[in-house]
Amino acid sequence: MAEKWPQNSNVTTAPAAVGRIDADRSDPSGPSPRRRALRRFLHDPIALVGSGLVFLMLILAVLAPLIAPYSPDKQFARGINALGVPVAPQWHMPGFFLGTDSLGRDLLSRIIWGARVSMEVGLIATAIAVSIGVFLGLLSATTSARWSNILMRFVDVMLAFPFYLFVMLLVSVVGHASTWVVILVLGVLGWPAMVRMVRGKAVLVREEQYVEAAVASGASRARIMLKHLLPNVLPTILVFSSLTISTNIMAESGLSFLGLGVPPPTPSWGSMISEGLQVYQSAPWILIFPGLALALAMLGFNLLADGLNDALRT
Amino acid sequence: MNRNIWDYIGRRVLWALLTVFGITIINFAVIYLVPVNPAQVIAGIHAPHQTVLNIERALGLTQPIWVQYGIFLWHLLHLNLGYSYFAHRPVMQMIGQALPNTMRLGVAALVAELLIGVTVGYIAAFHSPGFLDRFLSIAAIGGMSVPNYWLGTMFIYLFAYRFPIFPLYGQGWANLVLPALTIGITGAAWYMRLLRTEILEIVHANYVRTARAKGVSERRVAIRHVTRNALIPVITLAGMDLAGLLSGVVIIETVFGWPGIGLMTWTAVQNLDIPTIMGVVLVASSLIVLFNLVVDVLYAFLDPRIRYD
Repeated sequence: MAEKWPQNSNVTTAPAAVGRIDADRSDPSGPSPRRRALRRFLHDPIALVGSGLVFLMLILAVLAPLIAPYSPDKQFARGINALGVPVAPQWHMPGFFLGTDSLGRDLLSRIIWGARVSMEVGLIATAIAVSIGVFLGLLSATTSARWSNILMRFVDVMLAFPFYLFVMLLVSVVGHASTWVVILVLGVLGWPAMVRMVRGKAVLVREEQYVEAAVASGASRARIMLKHLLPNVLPTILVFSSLTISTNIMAESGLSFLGLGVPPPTPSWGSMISEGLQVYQSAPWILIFPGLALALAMLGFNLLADGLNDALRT
Repeated sequence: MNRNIWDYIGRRVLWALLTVFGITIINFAVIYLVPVNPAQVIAGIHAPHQTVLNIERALGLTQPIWVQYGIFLWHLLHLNLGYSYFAHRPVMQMIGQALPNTMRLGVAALVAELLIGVTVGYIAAFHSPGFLDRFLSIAAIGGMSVPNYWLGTMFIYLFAYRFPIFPLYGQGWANLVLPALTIGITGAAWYMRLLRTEILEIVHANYVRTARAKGVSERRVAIRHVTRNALIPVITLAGMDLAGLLSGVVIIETVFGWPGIGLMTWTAVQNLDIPTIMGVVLVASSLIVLFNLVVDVLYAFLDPRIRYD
């Protein structure tokens, strides 16, 4: 759509944008809001611990082959004692630092490789959910009331499904479990909440004068969505994404725990905990350590979300 | 005004019915995509072809999809969710047996969540800003980050095996303690954060300042003005939460062997018992819609502003 005013002039965006920044800024000549958000983030111990944990998990996931002492699938004859009981954690090297599982595999190596599945599912499923959710959310905020209503009613219906039950239904319909099935199911089920969140914010921004000015000056819908709404909704998206990653990591592990997620022998924290529940009387470490890893990963993304929320003041 | 509220409730009920209708369509569409032939599942893998065909005809699987959906909807109107392929019993009857157990667990879990969440949230808010508030707020994020089913397995290990305080695998009240606590501890964080935020906002509200200026005692302000108002959103959250809990805490029920609809669904998934899975999903999502409806209607009575929306 042709614009009446030159594309890059600040005529459409400047007045209101200045107004917003000024309102948010005590000293007009001070650092930009982005800078100040970054500074707040770097001075927040919670945010830093969260980022550290997330970074650690990503490193484990990416460098698993280099960091893990053994192959996650290797079954050691000395990993099971004469009574068939797994080896308890050994605090000396080379040994089994966190013990072995009931097939005589090194638990530490499996936990490190398990980070890979968790991060894969957490990040990709969230990326899918966020992409669909942000697109539809912005679309719904800019489209006619009628289409927007139809979309939001559909979102309501999707949100009424109990998450785990619906995932179980979907996974059993697909007939077999695999990492990609889990990623797709979580991604496809995750977007309705995102749509609602994004729309809620975008509708408020839409009422701002500078957006009205852009509309009046004939800016295309795509331009309004990308240039005016998206930057304002971005903080909310970041915070919510971080929380969603944590939820998805939990969901993947939960499905694997139920035997509906990542199939063996791929190491997943959830299936390790499920195995731990079988043998906790003789080998409680199989129950304890994968759960700790899982909790730390979730804690990382939750703290990160909290830190982002404080820094960006969403 | 009165007319307004009934208008609102009418619209809300209509909308809930439409949502349930949408749920049946999606549910049916998902089932229709199943690559497995239900007739084959019932007949067994080695059944002769003719048997499979007969069962297909008996189930109406040879009819066009909209006819099948029509029949499905017709049965649904008569509260008939079909027969379990595996248990060979009406799905409605199975749900009827399992749902009370899920309800017991759901209510117990909600009570645990509220007791922990409201207490901690209250303490944190009235010590804000300060060390205790900061500590409790971080602890709440920690609570949100513990996967509840893992906490459940740890409770089994610690309090049923290492220190056998609570019994395992049974349906008595003592069996309810560990699963309810598991959900309570991990779920309390949401209540704590919500209540804390609400209280901190209300403390600065004009009507609280007015009350103080009038010379109302601090105690009375805290109870009558602050706590009362701060509890409203907590109750909303509890209503929605209860809907979620009643729709089956699948993993927790599986971990503790609690015979509710979650465990029932898990068993059904193992056996590819499609009518049972479908029935549970339908009933559970309808329950969620119903609870949201009830919460909204109660709200409309409590808060006049909503009626004008």
